[in-house]
Amino acid sequence: MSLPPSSGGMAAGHPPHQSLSQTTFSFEIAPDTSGFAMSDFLAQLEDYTPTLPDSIANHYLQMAGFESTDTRICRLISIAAQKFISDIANEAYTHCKLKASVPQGKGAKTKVEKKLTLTTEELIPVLAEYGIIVKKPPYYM
Amino acid sequence: MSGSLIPSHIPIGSQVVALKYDHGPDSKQGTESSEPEDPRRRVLINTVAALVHEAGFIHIENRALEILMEVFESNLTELGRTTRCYAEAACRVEPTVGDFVMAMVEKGNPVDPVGLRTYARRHSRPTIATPQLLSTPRMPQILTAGKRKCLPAYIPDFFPSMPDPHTYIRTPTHKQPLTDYSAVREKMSQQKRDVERSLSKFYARTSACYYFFPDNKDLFPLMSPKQITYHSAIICRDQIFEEEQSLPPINLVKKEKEEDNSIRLLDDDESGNESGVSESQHTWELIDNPFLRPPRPPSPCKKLSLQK
Repeated sequence: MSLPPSSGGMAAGHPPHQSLSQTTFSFEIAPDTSGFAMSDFLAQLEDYTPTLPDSIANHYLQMAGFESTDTRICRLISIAAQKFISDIANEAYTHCKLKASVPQGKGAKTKVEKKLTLTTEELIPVLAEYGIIVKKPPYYM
Repeated sequence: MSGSLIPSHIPIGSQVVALKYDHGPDSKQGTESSEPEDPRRRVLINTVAALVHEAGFIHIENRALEILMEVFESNLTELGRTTRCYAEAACRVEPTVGDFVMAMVEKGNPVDPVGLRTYARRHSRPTIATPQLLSTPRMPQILTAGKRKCLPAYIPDFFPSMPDPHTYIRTPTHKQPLTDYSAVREKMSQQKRDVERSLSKFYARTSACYYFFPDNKDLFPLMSPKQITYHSAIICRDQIFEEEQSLPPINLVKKEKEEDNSIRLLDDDESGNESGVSESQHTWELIDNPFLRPPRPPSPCKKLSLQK
């Protein structure tokens, strides 16, 4: 059964009296632009210098078995990994700001400065949202 | 900055921003993990610190930084591995964008090319300087003498080259000496004649001569027999192995008695007499220094006793 894309919003339900063979379902399907846009983005990566140097990224990718003559793919993977970390850091910062905005007392400056420290306690719940479980050992070695 | 802390200064963009790595309340100073020795890990840590700083943080806990670094490294490795796996599953060797997309899907990350593009193009992105590669130390060139020969045709090229030619090629530089009796005798006699001639000429020039024919000084010069100290050195003698030559005594400070150069046999008595004679007859003082005494060659009688 084919699902023709519809230009408008969600199509209305089929009339209840029609038979199943005549029923057509139309769902909103976003145009599959990911592949196209990704390859387009790949072409732009030649000029881009990522934060992580290419040699380091290539080393870790080669350790994993990934070897490519195309440097753009390596840069793409490097950017994806960096974005992951940036997203975690941004979310942790948002959490930090939310916590800091609630109490406002004396010595706000020092408190704010202290609050702008990324601690493990703030990082762990953020990582948990991303599916990374970090547990502190019960004893300190 | 304690020894366990990661370096605090990381250049981000054009500004050098100081990042302090604080210890957590339950962490102990001096027992934290020391700076990673692997330079790549250090660059990773710098990258993570730069990204965290870009997010807005000023300080970061050491442990938190390490956690993020591990997450980053495992993320990078996993994406690379999964991309490679998808490429190989499609019977390809070269990974493509589609493989990367599948890897992202597998990992559970949203495939957001627009987001990635925005992220890549952001103005505030920090840059980490590419670590300089140390050039491999040049091995000292082994001194080569001569031109190395090419490998023969029956030896393949991947074999090591031939060594220096002087190591295995020997060119004889002299002829085999003549060993037949007549040639040696002739040579000896010729040498003797030459030595006598040159010696007589030398004497004619150095010592006083009486010339029978004053006009022609080369004819029959009469040389006074003046003894010279190095007389024995410039006259070639036949080698006699059986009898030993006596050495002049050198245990006296001043002039020594003229030594009789005639060959004589040394006996035990004579060796004893020699020392006695030296003590009584010489006017000069005898140095009683054992290190200045002349060497006493072993007597033939002693030699015979040893051989027995």
